[in-house]
Amino acid sequence: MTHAAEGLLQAWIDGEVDGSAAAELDRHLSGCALCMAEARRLRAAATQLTGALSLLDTPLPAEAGEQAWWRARQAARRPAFARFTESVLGRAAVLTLFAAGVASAALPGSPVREAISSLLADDAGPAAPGATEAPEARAPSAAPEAAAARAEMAVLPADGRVRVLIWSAAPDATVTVNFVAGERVTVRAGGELGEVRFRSGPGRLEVYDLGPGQATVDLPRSLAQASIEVDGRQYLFQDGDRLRTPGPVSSRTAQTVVFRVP
Amino acid sequence: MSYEAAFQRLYPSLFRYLQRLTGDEDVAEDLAQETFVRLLRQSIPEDEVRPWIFTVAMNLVRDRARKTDRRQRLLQGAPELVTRAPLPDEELERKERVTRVRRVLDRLPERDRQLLLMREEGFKYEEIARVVGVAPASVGTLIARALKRFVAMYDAPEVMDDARG
Repeated sequence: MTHAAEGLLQAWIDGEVDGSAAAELDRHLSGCALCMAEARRLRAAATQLTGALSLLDTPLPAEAGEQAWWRARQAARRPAFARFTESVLGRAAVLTLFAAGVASAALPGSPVREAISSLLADDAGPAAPGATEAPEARAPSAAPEAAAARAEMAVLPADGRVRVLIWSAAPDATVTVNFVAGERVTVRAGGELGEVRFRSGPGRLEVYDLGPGQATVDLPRSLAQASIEVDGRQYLFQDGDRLRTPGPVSSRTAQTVVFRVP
Repeated sequence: MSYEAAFQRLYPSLFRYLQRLTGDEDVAEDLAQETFVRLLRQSIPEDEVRPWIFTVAMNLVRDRARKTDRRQRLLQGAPELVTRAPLPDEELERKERVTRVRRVLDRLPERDRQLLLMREEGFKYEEIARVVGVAPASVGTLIARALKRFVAMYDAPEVMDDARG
């Protein structure tokens, strides 16, 4: 046998060579240092690739598959046109709301302006309608008094479901979940650095850079399903009447659950 | 075929593949969902489901990349608004390694990326050949060359410097 081609060696490493071809290659490799070295190089490269790729992975939360299956079934039931209009019109509505909010905030005496002012001044002020479901919002960070301020964002559930994702929470950050009446899921969050940012989509609200701060989530009791995850770890999962709190619970009552990030 | 069983079996693998390919968890989730929505509207023989799903997912990735390219061209020059606190050494090092892997994957030819990621998901050569559109007999050679390209790029000084920012 002449030297083995790299493709054959790769196939052999991947278990794609069998029978007499495998036996012949085994015999050749046991006597050919050159081919054995090439096979080792390829195996080492594959090992390096596997290790490198694993750096990119984030673990799937336990219920992610279940939720994705449910969403896929729901989406498959809707005609393609409905999904298209829902997506396009939904985004257009959000942008319009946002633009309207910004425009009315500029008018002295407007309720939106007042709401935003009180939000900036008050630690847990009322919701700013203009900020609701905006694609992205930032907590105030420039003014010194804003350091302790909290930003707020609300979303409506999609098909009765909501997912709240909190990222970059430092140890001792706290997440308080209040079970409330109504339909809207509201998150108020603030860090010491005042750098909290929000992102939202249908049935999804994300809080970035919480740091050692606090987040308060108002979760409607009427939701079909809700989950709260902090840095990829699930802290709370509600499915109808069933409530699971796999996160580190500091205190729990019928109205409130408090988690402290370990 | 039980769609739910297919979903349970294939979703984690598809999600991981898409996440590695796109570098974005949300995009991977969206595309995985869209892929399964399309599966639910089709009747695919059971033994062809896996290659079918990965072929559709790859087409969705391409569509999305085209749209994103257009958007990025429009947004070129937009200021970066996010400021971040310095990271601890260990976290910084991990981040650099992640960036390095990402850079290399992004620079590899699309076919190499597909071959390597599908191999990682345990596809047989025949399935890889069907999805990528090459002869089954050439898959070993193509994977070996893609692996060598990956290693050469991963260890290249300019990629390391690039990852350090």
